[in-house]
Amino acid sequence: MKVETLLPLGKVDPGLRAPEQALDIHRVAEDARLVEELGYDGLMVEDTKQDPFVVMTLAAAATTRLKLGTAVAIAFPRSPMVTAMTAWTLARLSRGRFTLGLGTQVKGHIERRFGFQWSAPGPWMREYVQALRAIWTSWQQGTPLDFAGKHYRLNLSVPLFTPEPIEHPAIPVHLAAVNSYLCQVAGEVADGMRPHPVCTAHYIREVMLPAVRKGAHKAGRSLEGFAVSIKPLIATAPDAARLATRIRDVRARVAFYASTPAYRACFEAHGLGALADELQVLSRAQRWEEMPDRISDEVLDLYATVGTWDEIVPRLLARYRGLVTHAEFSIPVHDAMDAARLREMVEALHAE
Amino acid sequence: MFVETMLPLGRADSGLKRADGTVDITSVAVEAARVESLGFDGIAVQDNKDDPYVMSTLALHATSRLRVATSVAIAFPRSPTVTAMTAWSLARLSGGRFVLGLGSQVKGHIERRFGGRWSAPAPWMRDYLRAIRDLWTAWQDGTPVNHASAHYTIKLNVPIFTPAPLACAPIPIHLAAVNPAMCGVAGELADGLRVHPICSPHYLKSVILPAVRKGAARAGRSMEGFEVAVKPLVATAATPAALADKREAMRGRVAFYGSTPAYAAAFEAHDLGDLAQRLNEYSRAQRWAEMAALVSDAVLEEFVTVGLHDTIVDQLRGRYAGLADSMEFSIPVGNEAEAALLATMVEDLRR
Repeated sequence: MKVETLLPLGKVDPGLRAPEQALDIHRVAEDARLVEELGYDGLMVEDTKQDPFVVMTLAAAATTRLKLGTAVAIAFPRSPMVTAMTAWTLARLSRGRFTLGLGTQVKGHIERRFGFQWSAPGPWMREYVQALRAIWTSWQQGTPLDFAGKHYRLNLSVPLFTPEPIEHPAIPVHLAAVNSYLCQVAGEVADGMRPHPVCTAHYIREVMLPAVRKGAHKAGRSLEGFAVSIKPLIATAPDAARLATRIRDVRARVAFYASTPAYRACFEAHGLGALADELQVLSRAQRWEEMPDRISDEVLDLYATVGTWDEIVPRLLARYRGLVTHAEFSIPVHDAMDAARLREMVEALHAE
Repeated sequence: MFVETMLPLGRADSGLKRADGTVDITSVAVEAARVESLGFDGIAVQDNKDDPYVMSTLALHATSRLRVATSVAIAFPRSPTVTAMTAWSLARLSGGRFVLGLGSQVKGHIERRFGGRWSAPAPWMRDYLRAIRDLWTAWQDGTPVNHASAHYTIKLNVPIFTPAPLACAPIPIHLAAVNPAMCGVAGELADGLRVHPICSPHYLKSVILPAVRKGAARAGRSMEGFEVAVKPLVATAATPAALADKREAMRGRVAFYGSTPAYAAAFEAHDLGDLAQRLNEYSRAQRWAEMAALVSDAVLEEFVTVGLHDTIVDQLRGRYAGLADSMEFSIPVGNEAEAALLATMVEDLRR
């Protein structure tokens, strides 16, 4: 499988807590070169505390081979024309190495963080991607834009604001997804999907991929080349002693996800709807400390891949081989030995 | 005078025609470093065929002293939270060398190019700038954001989406404006004004600056430190023959601007409302070829600074002294001699 990473290397997905290590914008160029040098296929960036496209620009300018992508940028607070232009510029700058990963966010964020009006996210995202494609086609072919949807009507073409064609105009669009409706939309209009870390191998196989196939069938598209890029929950460390801390963290993470109504389907698929309900009650009562204990080792093992550095790669491969095309994985790199170790791990993941 | 240029050097403002020279995104870093070495104070990037923030990122990353301003980015198609975050990232990356220049665009573009809904632009821009400032204050002080205006309600605070404070000075906001209402908003809320090329020194003095001062007074603000950034229409060349060509090209530009209703006020201030009206009628009838001839030499020189390379800097200084704080100016640079000439011109203009 292909191997991707976020920055900084070894960054642990924090759920909604503050991350242990924040991305340092001054180090992006240097770190992107290191990631390329370590043999990674791709460098991904989230849309959290930095503009993801600024980070992508720095990484694109610093590398020559590495694929680059947003994982994911929030779509709706940007007009599709804005996003189309940004992606076009990045595709040109990177000579075709950029993948546009988009996500819907949830109602509360769109309304109360971005100040926009909410609407059913699946149909909105479908139209958003269709609008992007219509814009890109008009730019590449030099034809007037005429897109009429429910959310967007785009029909003004002015030469001064019309970019020239580019060498790699088929910019891949990936969609972040948890629930089946968005998976179906991904199958209909996107080139790949990025399951949330809470999505288990079982959930991807039994719920997400059937929905993707349904969408593709509906749209009469082939799924040849469709990417499934995961960011698995992982607890790993050089040795068993240090692994214990990681396990404690990931257990808390699973508990947090279980308490979040948006991820309930991922727990129901494992017959854990009652556990999700229980954790939601605890979370509403702000009884955070009690939550991790409700996640048994057995449940933890469903959601997280756990192992020392010697064990983790075979375990990831056993779980995801044949199911996904890309996986995000890294360990912190403090010295040349860490770098050599990570290079080996990336190579081992990449080999299968 | 603080001197800026667009990229590539010598690029003439294009109105709504295809640009004469567009910058190749893969050469922005090299071009920006060259602009810095020529002694310029800043680079101004537009929002037309490339993402202006991607260009700003490349220019800031490739330089250490130069200021980079969007001149201007279109505001409304991006949520204020998006724009606030982008500017914050660029300020952090550059240690405070980024200027957020914003413009409203017109109804047709917002609706039919960006797919948004239009609303009166000056009140909307006021809400937009206030939302950005409220977000920045919250991020800098570590306090919850709580913005409520007619256009935006922003009051969700989540640690993972809250950037850390900046170590640099606050990010300046400049506003593009032609008409008095938007100039007033700039005076109320912005740190500078990005004046459209069609605004003559006379229009600047008699309409724009009074409107800005009125806005500032309304908000009880001082104009101390407020930056007026101009991008004058210039026809300049090394020889009289070459200058004649530039001058005729500029005549077409003035005719085009005159035909555009949004700029009517800039012509009316010169009692040229009738000319603007006639140019508008010609453009509607697609009589483009005949339009330039309607612009007399006298009218041309109200709007355009015309002069040879050895006099143009003095002419520009004479026209804009006391009116503008920063100016966009450059000539095309094809060889070392032209680079040396431009460096001298920039040095003269900065004095």
